[in-house]
Amino acid sequence: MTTNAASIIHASQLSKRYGSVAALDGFDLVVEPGHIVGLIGPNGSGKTTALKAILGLTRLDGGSLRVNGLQPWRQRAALMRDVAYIPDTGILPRWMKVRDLLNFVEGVHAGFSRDKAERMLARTDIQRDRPVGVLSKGMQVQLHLALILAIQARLLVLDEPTLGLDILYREQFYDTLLNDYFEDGRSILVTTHEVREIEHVLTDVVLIARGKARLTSSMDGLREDFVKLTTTTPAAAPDGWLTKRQTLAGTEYLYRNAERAALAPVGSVSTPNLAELFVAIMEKPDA
Amino acid sequence: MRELLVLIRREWLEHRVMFTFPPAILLALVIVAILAATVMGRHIAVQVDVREDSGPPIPMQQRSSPPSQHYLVAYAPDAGMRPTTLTWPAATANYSPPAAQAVATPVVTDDGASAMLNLVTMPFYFLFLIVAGYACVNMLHDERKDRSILFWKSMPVDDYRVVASKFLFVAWVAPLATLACAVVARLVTSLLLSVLGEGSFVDYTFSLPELLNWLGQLLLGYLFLGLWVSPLYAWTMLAGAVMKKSPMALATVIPLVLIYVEWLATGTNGIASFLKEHLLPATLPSLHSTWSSQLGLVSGMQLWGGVLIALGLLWLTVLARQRFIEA
Repeated sequence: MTTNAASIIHASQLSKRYGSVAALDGFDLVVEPGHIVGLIGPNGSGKTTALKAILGLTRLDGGSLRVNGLQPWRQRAALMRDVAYIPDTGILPRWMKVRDLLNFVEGVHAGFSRDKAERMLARTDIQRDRPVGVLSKGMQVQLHLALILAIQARLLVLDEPTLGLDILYREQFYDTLLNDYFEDGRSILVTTHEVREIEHVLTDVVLIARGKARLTSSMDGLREDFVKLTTTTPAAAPDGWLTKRQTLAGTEYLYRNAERAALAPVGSVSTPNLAELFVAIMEKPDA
Repeated sequence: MRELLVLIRREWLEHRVMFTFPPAILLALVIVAILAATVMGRHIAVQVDVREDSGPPIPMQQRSSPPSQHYLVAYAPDAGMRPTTLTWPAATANYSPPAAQAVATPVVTDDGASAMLNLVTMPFYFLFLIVAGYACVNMLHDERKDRSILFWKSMPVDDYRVVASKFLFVAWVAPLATLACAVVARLVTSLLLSVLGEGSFVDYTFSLPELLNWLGQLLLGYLFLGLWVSPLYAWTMLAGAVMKKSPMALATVIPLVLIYVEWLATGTNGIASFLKEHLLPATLPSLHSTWSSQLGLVSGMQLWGGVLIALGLLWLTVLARQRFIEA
């Protein structure tokens, strides 16, 4: 990813400590307009802290952060005019009726389109006079998605948005996201443990561990930079691999910046998926 | 402005049950009690020792009603006072003299029936303050507890407006249902006693001017009630915004500790007096209140000093809401 003045998010050397624990330790991130960026890391890697900082929900100890040109901590309300946010499920007020929730968002958010929200809800079984608390988890996500996607936001931040949902709702969630939200100039920043289910929608990925960005790349760049060799003759595999693991098909080696042509005679050469890269980078964070 | 109204409406939607059901239940209880007292009550003989503020006991005469009724007319002809009616629930035949005396003293010195009618409205005021205190403690704590704060904060509304809307709601919107019930209670009580009491209130007939005067006092009291109790509201909101658990404990314990520390350090009880004053709905019409006493209260330093303290506490509440998300 390259940086330019029009970046939606520009974070440099962010740091945040909780007592003796460094949640963010020199974290960098750039999100450009029109990109879908996956922020991927293990539990406790600093993902949620980074998102909170981006949304103005936590005060940073150091570093420089601009989101849509604003300082999130100081200008959260202004920022949220152009930023929408869905964390993991279950944050909608359970006591509120669906209709009242729509009225509320319409009343406080100038960029909210009631018509669009109603159209999206019409595709669901959600009744307007029911309290949020009696809706199923999947319906609550549908409702939240309808509310958020009806907002004309430049950036959508998703924090484990499909956590706890069954496979049908998860598929539906990302389909809706791509069909109804994503268009030129709008960006998405998403964190999830379900790496496989978002791999196909990402344009960029940032792997984060121990509060630092360990790998920042476009998905195309990943495909070019990393190569997987599967061989039944491990002794012939060239040195310089990042990770090695035994599988039923043979021994798998993961290389960075290796010539595919040079590996081809040794075994089967393929492009590693994001999950494999994630594991590799986490095992060798300085690779 | 529209945004603020939307936020206040959201508070109403969340807390409407809390602020309407309890006073409605109390109203029903008051009406039932008055009905039972007037319809099924019996004459109760009570010795009422009515004194002037500093003078000797005033000669009393007692007049009992027919057995189906239960009122007492006390008057002091030598002092040139009008006959005055005292009433009480007639379930018991032996009404305790201290309570009767508490009613009797102002009844004779003021307009007895009005004082008695004011007494009917008092439980509503205190009920409201209990509910309001509870709501204030929880309104900023619950949103952290159920994590809905993340949704509220995903809207383009700053913390100042959110805290302001919560304060405005509890100060001026929430009391409306309770005060409406108090008005109904007073009206129903006066009508019931007038009609079913068969003229028992010799010195009280339904008076529109008197009612309007009381409503005026109630309106004035309502307008300033939110300011008078604002330190209580602001403190409990701050406790709810700061504490991860048991905000009510913090809201209660810290003032007690401060009172104790002040007493140990200086031997004074300024904090205790301040709290005692501001925990009472002093601006609302009470047994003795007059226009002048109410106006004196709302223009006094005690009210505006309390408002300044409340503003400081509300500012801290805003800072707390900015920083504390988890509970």
